Amino acid sequence: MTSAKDFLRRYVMHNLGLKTLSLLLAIGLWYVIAAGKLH
Amino acid sequence: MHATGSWPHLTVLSVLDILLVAFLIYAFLAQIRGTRAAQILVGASVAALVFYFSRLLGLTVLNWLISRIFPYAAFIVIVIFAPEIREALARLGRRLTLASSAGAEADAYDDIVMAASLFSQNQTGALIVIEREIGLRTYVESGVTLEAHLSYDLLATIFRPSAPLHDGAVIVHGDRIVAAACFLPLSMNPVLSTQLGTRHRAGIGITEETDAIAIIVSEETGGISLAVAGTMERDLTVERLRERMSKLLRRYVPPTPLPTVISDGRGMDESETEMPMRSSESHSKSGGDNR
Repeated sequence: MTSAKDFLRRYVMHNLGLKTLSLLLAIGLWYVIAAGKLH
Repeated sequence: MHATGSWPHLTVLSVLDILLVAFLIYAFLAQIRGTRAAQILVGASVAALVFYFSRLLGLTVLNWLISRIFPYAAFIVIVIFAPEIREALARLGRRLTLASSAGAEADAYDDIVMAASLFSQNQTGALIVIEREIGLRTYVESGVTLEAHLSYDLLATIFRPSAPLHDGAVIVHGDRIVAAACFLPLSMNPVLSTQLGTRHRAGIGITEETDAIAIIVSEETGGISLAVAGTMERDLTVERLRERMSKLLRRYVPPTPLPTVISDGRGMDESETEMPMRSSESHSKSGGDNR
């Protein structure tokens, strides 16, 4: 249980804002490229 | 991955693709966070937004102007981010070669700790750079090559204010003092305190561009600072410096008896220490006037 918490804290919660932003940017990039909106 | 309607078709491969790109973006953002590159990135993002809206609103001239500049953006980015790119690639290479280099330990650094203690007591300005994985040949060539065995006495001699080599950085590799009186790049980090002099900025500058460790002793306060990866810990005690160095260099630096202040007339007395080093701070060679 402690190791799971530790894992969450260390690899998931750490820099969560930056990780979310990166994921959103990646989704946005995929969207414009895959939908052919970027020429 | 073909577009179906307005939303493209999402497959397992697409998810993998997105996650990989997200990881790359995250690694990039984490790398530049807190550096001047982040500020430049914000500026570039604003330019991209202006371009997008100029296109959307049909602002022909603005759109034309930005579209003419954009093809050169890659070159501009390479020039502006050159130190960051170099550092990132070096870090990547270091990670890949970590297993092979793990056994290569540096030699005795306790002389450096002792010398730093002496400089701190005498308020003698000093800048010592310890080379790690990334070579410092460029900076070595800017100074005077010594290739001498690293010792407390030699360091104390080099940084004597009356010594010709005192003005600049000493570069250490393993148990050798490779060069003295070296020019180092100054840190351009705008977040740094304005109270920091050229010596401190040079110490931080070299650690921004390489993986070296810089030990800086202030001539004004005698405070010992340690710079690593563009960040600096100030006013370290000798014990703390020893602790940090042993951790950073992954070896045990044994506690050594600290030298006492040289107080006789032939030693580094106050007037002798103050005056010449003062001038070195203002035109400092360590500050990298070559930039």
